Amino acid sequence: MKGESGFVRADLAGEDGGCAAGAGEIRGKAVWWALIAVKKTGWFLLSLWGASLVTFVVVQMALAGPSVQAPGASSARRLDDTELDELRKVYGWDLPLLVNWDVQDRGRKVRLALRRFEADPGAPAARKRLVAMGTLIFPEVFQFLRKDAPLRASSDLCSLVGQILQKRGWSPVPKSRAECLAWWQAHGKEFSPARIHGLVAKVQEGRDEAARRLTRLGRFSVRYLMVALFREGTEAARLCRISQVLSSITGHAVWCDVQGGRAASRTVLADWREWWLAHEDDFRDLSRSERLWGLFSKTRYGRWMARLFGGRLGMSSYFRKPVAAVLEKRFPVTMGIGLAALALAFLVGVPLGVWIAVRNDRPVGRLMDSALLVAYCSPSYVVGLALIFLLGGLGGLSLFPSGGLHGLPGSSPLGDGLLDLLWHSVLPVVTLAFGLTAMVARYAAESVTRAMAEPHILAARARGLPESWVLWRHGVRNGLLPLIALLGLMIPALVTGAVVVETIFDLPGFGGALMVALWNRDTNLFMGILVISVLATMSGLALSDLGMWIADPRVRRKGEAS
Amino acid sequence: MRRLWLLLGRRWSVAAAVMYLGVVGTAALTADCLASDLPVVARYQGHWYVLPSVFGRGPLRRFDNESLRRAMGPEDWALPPLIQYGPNQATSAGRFDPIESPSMRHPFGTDDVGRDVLAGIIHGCRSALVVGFGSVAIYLSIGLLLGLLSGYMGGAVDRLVTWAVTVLVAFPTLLLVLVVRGAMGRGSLWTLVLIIGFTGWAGVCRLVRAEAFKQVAAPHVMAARALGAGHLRILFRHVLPFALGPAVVSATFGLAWAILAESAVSFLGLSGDSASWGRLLASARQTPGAWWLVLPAALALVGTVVSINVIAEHLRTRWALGDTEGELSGGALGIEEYPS
Repeated sequence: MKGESGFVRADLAGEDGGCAAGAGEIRGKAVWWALIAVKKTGWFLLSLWGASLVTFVVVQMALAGPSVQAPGASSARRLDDTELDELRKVYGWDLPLLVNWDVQDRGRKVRLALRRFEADPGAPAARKRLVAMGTLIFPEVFQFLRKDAPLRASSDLCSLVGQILQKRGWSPVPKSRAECLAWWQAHGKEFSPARIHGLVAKVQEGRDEAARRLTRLGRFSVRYLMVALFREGTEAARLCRISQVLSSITGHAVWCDVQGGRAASRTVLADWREWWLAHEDDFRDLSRSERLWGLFSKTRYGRWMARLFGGRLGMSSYFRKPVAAVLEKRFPVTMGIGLAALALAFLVGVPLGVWIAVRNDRPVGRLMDSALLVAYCSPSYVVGLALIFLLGGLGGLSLFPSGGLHGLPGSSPLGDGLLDLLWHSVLPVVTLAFGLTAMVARYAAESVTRAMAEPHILAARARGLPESWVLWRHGVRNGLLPLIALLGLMIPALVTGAVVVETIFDLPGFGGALMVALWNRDTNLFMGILVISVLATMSGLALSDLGMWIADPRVRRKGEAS
Repeated sequence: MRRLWLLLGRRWSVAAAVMYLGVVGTAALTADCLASDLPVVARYQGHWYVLPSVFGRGPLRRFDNESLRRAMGPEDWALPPLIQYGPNQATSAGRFDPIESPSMRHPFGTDDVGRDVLAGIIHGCRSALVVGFGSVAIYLSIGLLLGLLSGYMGGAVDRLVTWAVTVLVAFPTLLLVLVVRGAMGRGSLWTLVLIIGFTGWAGVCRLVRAEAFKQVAAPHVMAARALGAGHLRILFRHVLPFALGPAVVSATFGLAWAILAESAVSFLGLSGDSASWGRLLASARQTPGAWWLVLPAALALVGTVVSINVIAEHLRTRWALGDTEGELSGGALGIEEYPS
């Protein structure tokens, strides 16, 4: 990044101050460093955001919703409409992608449904909608009934109210418009926030009567229960009581273990938080500012970002678990193999490169260089197949296992412990490292060759320094600096390489999860993996920038000069 | 002849690479004459058919080479292709184990569903080159345009383009290709071309931008401006020629990458119905011990990629682009992104 006028000015200011006193110069420098750091971080975040946005849009447009197959490997049953609606809601597919022009909160949804009902009271879809919303529609409905609505609509509406009440276990159910209004006259105050708050408090203390009455109030009380749930923190017993009432009202089953302790409570809370994120707008009215902000926040992207800022990646629709929990177990596999391959690539590649650089005018060096070109161009699936074929017992020698991370218990000659793990990971690591090694070696060779052609090498030789000293101190040290930049470029290779290698060797890592996510249209899982890989790539690039900058004073000076 | 030799830089490796690519390119162009499940030219029941597998099968729909030969009357006539099987034709249908090792009938054997390997290799040339050249053509033009604009205009445009480049570098292109292919299911090759084309231009753009920056400050551009040349003229006559070299070299390396990406996607089982080297390799994974599935496809793939790399490196040294230190980030080797 060159030519930022702001930094030129800061730099100049620093130098002006520096004319007067040393302290001023140092302060100027510090400000300059701080500015650089802020700029770099800002750039980093901005790029991260851009990459995640584009990835998100592509993935969402491409994968188009979770699989409609019912959960469970054996069941081939397709989901029915309500289940499908629920699924869509959980994964946000009822929302627009980036901008929501029509933010619908509880009030708006009820009014829309009422209007549709008024237009055609007989239509089953409209009736179903209203009944599904349960007691949430009461404030609007009774207002509607109070003003003189058309006779047929109001009696129909009252019968709907009756249905809802019956479902919630009220025994004398109102039949006509007058009865309905009378019922609301008698029971309306039970729906006041203060009353419900009181009931919720009693439920937390374990009063069954209060729980029963709350359940009778139905979906209307959910938002108050939610507030209490999230305020409660992690005390298991009180949490579970609320959770039970919520489950019985909403039908969203959450297993709450009273004896489970903190961790269990946290899982329960996370589960409800996830549910609430998807369903909040059915239960709550939004303020004006919330509705305005909802333009962005009530979208798939907004919701996903909201989750991301809370450190959550959403639920995996295939594993029916939080994405983080799915990836947690797989992380060490991918990470371990990637790091091992990286280490191997540098440990083998650098000496090889130097060796070639020294011999680059001899046939053996040229031959090696060509061999490395071929190695560099061999994709990991070819290398992996060849290795399995030659060493994995599918044709040639049978030295290494050809897949998996562990043998069957007792089957391995090296026991079931760490040694077995290492034995299993030899082929994947070599496969992944193969091309990377070639890349490092070629790069090192070229770079060291170029460094050895510099005039200062000639000068060193002229001073009579021993050749090994010239090579290692002057040639290699200068020549290897650009390799730091290579490190950053290798991270994306490691990520995509992991997909292929884990597919070939059946390893339980990110790559396997990615393919599972792909085949099952598991958007959240896919996005989780992509975000992690983007993050890894960006940090790799930033780290190699930083490394370059620390290791090479020329880069630093160039930065200062601009 | 001598001029050609000079053009190849008097190097055997480059000549071999060009010849290899020539063979692959010819195979790609003439794939339907070389390997097909229908004759190249046929006369059947009084009608003439030319390349029926390309221009519509018509009444020959029910036949393949063998059954057609059996159904032909004395008047009929057919010129069979070199390999008598199409890339997607299950040649040993109905057998319990359709895989066959190399024989006279199938010189390179068949894969696990009985498709002829040689036909697959020949038609794989086409997939590889279509994806390679198609996507590179797209991203070369995008990269050139944006790079020139950003280097020439500077300011906000430059910031925006630089940002986009940073984003794209961090972008898991191959994974995205996977999503889109996975979602499209049996989508055609062109989706692949479009995705790689629209996400791959970062490297070219960066190089062109750096070059444009350098040239905009150069005296000849100032002279052109003093002579009253317009922006477009300066851009395309005075800046572009300098940027073309690095861009073409980078795009050539990118060609290899795109081909590798295509076969990686096919290897992971997302090739749709297009024959591809990656698909052959994938079937090798399912049938252990079938060396004839690995070897030809691997040779074709690695050979192509090596040839392209050799040519790209030759171009780079020939145009002396090796020493644009740092600007060619990933630098001397012109590595934009390491192939998977």
